Parts: sequence; structure tokens; C-alpha cells
Amino acid sequence: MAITNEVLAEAISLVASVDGITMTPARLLEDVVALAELFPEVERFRIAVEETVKALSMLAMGKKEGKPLERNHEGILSYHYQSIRVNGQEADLRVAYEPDIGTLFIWQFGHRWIPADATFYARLDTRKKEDARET
Amino acid sequence: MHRSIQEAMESASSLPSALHKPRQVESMLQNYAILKATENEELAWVTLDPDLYQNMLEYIAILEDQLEQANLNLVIENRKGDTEFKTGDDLATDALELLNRNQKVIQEHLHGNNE
Repeated sequence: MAITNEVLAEAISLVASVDGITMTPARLLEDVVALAELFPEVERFRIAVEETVKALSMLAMGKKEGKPLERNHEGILSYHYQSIRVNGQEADLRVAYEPDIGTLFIWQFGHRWIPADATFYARLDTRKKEDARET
Repeated sequence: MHRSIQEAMESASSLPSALHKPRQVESMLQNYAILKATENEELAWVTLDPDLYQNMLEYIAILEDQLEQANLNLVIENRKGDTEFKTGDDLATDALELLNRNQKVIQEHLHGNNE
């Protein structure tokens, strides 16, 4: 079964419902669609979304913490997590975020290498330039 | 811009010539956007190391293809300027509205990629 817009909407609602996170709507949509590209089967997509929600929740609650990125990503932390919890599964997904008082600014979530090798950080660069939060 | 180019040059020139290890690729990719903007004359500095230069060009070509496939900025309309951080219901409402406005292109995008 292909991923419909209803399934995408469900994923958006789930991610947005995490307490303590802040993100731009367009980036949330982009990242959800990117996950749908990566996991075209509905059940697998839903699992990846669930794992994303869990990761965001743990970060927002302070139960987990990412590692600081270097150089031009100074101030941003990256947390690695599995798209599905099974033995042997690498931590293939990432959340790039910036802690602030009472919230986490979510820059981006998604796969590190697929579908477009390593564009996670290239896209992060683009998003940083777009950011109007500091202007 | 000049400072960014300088930083990219220093960073990339510090890489070993074997660029196929993920960590090294990652470092280079972090500078991709900068290098892309300077890939002509200003990238000529890498001719100091022919292997590095060739690898860089190959990666840029590959990345351009991949970025073209994955560039949702081209797919999702009306996103430009939408850089305001939101939370909770506002975040969901606006993202869903954006999804609603782009249903057709998103489905075409997903369908095309998964064929």
C-alpha cells in the first residue's frame, strides 16, 4: 500500500504532538515526505515515524541528548536513533536540534545517507541560512 | 563569502587523499554548499592535489544528481519564507495546510521515486 496524503497527515500530527519541540511547518512536512520516500511501505514508514516521535520525546524530556556538531554547525546537537528497533539495526536516522529554554528547536530529522547521500548536513546548511528566528 | 571559502579550503585541504571513508566524506559534504558556489575558478586551488580535485568533482556531480532527486524545496510550493518556528497545534495546522496545498505534487514525487 502506497503512502497516501492521509498517512502523511497522520505522521505530521504525531510529530507535532510531541511536547517541548518547535519546528517550522514546511520543514516538518519536508522531513515527513523524505521519510516516506525512504520507507515507501506504510507499516515500515509508520514504525520510522514512531521511532522519530520517541526520539524527539526523549530529547524534549531530557532523557537523551545528542552530540554537538562542529564547525559551521556550532550550537546544534545531533542525536542518532534507529528507524526500527531490531538487533543489528544501525542508528540510521538523525535529529539535528538546538536546545533553548523550555523547548528544542528541531532543525531537521531524517536519514543520514539515504536517499541522497549525506545531504542531511547540506540541507541543514540551507535551513540555517533560511532561518528567520535570529533576524 | 570570502571567509567561508577560506574555511572550506582549509577544511578540505586537511583531508587525506583517500576520501571514501564516511567521516571524511561527511566533512567534505558539510562544505558542499560553499564549494558548489565556487566550483569554477575559485575551486582551482585544489589542483594542487589532482586526486583531491578529481574526487571533489566526482562527489559534486553525484551530489547534484542526488540533490535533484531529493530536493523537496522544488516540490513543495509556497514554502519559501515559511521559516517561523512553531509548536504544537500551530505547527500541525500549518504543516497540514501546506500538505493540503501540495497533495498532488507530493504524491507525484513519491510515486515517481518509488516506481
